[in-house]
Amino acid sequence: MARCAGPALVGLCALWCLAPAPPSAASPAADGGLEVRLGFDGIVKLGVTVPILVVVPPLARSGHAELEVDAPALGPEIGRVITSTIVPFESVAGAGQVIRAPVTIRDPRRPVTIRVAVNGEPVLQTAVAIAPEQVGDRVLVVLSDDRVGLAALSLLPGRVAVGYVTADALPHSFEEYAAVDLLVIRGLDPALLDSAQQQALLTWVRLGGRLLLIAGPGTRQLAFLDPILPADVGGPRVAPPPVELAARYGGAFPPAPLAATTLIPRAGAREVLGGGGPLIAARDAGAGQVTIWGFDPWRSPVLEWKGRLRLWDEVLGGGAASSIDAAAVAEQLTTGTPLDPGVHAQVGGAILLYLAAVLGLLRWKPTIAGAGAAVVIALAGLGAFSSLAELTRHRSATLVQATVLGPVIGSGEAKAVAVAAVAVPYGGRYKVTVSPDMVADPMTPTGDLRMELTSGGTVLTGVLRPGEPPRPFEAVGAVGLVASASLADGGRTLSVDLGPLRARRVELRWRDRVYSVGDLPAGRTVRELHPDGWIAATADGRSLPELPARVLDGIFQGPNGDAILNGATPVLVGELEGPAPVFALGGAGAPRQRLTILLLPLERR
Amino acid sequence: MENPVLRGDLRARSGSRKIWVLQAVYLGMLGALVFLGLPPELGRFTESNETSLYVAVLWVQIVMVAYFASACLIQEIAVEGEKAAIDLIFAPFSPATIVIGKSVSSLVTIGYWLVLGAPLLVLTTAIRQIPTVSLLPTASVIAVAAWGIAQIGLLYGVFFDAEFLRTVVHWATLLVIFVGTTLLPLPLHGLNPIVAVTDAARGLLPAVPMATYATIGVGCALWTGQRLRSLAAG
Repeated sequence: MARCAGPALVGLCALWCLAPAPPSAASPAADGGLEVRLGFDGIVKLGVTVPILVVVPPLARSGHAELEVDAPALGPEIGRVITSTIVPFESVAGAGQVIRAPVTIRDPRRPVTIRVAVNGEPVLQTAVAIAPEQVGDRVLVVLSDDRVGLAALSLLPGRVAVGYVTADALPHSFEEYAAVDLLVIRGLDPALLDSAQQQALLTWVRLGGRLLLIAGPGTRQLAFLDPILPADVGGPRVAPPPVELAARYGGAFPPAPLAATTLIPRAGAREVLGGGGPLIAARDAGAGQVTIWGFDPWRSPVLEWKGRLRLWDEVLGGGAASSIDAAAVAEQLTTGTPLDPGVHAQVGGAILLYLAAVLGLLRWKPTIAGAGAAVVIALAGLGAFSSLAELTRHRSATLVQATVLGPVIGSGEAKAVAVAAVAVPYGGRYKVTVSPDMVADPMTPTGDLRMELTSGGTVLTGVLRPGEPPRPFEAVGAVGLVASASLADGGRTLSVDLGPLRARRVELRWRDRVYSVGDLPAGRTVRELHPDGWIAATADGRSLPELPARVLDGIFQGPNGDAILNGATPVLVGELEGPAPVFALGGAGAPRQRLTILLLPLERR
Repeated sequence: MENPVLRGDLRARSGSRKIWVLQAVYLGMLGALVFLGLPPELGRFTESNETSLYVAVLWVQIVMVAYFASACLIQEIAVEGEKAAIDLIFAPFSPATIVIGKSVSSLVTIGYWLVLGAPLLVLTTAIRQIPTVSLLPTASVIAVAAWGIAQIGLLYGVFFDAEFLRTVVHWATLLVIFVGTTLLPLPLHGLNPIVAVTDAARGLLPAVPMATYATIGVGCALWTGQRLRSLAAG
């Protein structure tokens, strides 16, 4: 499982950093006619989805074409383990193409290979090596014309990697920001971002991303970010040396005036005063955070200020520890993937029928002719049992999935983390389709996985060997969901609005206590809470069906469980009825188990 | 079927209630094993585990077929209407006719039982994607080994008059073949029928054990014929 592979990844990273740098250049690469931009200015985070942009030059032939990105991965198998991402497209002779796809790098020692084939024939190929300095644990992406100036951030704890990008490199889906810990926008012309990029950025911030805007002199307002901005930007001003910043973040501020921009904080914004006015304003935007600096850290005297490292460290944050740990949930799904009881009944019935036919015939006609007829039945049984075996193999394939929806209050959106485990108990090929609005990724890398990005969703195909444990996958996306829950009257009144959805077995969880709310109808519901209704989460008498109980264990007892349970307010958790499944297993008659969990932090009023 | 002994034995066996019960027990055990072994071994996917159920079914099959075949020839399981070889020396049949008839009827019965059990084996193999053609070498090993063991029963039937002594010697022989051979050093260890059929299931054709049991079968037939001739002359 991925959690178990964590130390291995860290160890690999450490060993690989000691190794000499690979000879080939990092992205962008123009070898073989393909121009490739991997990650953010080549910066990647291991095991996390990053964007890859491939510029395919005009090709000589028209026809059905495929772009294949082979990303090496560390896996349980000995030898080469590669996850292939396929993007089909129509090639038009003489016309170039720009293709974007999400890709996950798990083994940076080997290059990522990109191939283009037209009508099944390979026409272009290139490889992109990843240098050690391109891998970060804390990734900072800067949208700026100045492509230097942040080298000192390598002194910060963690492995900080800085990538400088242009507007066209920003992702078109929020999932591709997964590797980014902080996005810095400095002097962006809003016209350079298309609507998909704007929406992706907005969604990413609301679902937990951290955005830093540098409001330098002449900075243009980004209208699409207006709903989440912590402050309005006024005119330029010259501030005296901001001793308040030095007092807060350490280091003596150079005794020079600071060219600053006036910030007018909005309601709910946190501000840091300095030089006679707010220099920093920050505000939570959904689950994320937006910060505006009213000064330019690329310019003197901030560049000479030693305390700026602590300032960067603070704005960079420590990662989203309160998010769901998909590996922990996957472990719970894969421990008990059941075999369809109908398969047993079918096989048992067929065996009994065969025995009854043979023995009945021999009893009814105890002659040599009867024995001959029994041989004919046995020969017919050979064909029938072969077909039954094939049918049983298909029917025994199962898909168990759990989707955790974390709505962001006021945004109308929820982050969806879906985990699925596909089992083919007797071995064989599987085909799983993931909703088009989700980015899927395998959690246990194997060499036989093919991920095809189609308009109908991501199609995952692979092979499981007989007896091999179920293969887990993760998909992340955003779904429209208006839901809210709040506590009032000192925690005695619970108010929940689920919109059009209903929820079953709803509980409130806080630290080691749990309060059973029961089923909730669609729309708004108000319940009185009794203080003695809070019981220990480990108390007997709480009965949940097996799958919900296991999934909740994965959420709350996983590595991030404490961060979720020990927040300022309780969380509401329950099973949602209605949302469509994220994963679909190909093959008729395959049994499925699915569960949608609502995980909603309560507001206090 | 010009051999009257063969014809008579096959007719007797096809009409026998005891044989019907034996077949019901044999097929019932195979069916139960296949059904109970249906759940896959999740989390264990080494080569040996992939074929474990298939091999277990083969083990049960060779033990049951070998015992039933030899027990019928030694008259430990007295089939209604089937005469023992020693009882036929006073009939107008030559010893060669008796031995050939008995040997072939035993081989036909073994093949018949293997055919009846084949659909259950196919279910086990096909569900785990084991090629069906791999059944042929295993069936050959079972047939040859069971026939060789059955021929020992034929020999004992003409050598030991006392029923109790016949049974004791028969069981002692079965113990030697199925248990004692496991104590032999390699490569003689492969003479164990269970080891031989396991090797066949793994794609290794156990030529030495097959040749050994075929030789035992032919040797027992020749010895039985000689014994019958001496009894008829005496």
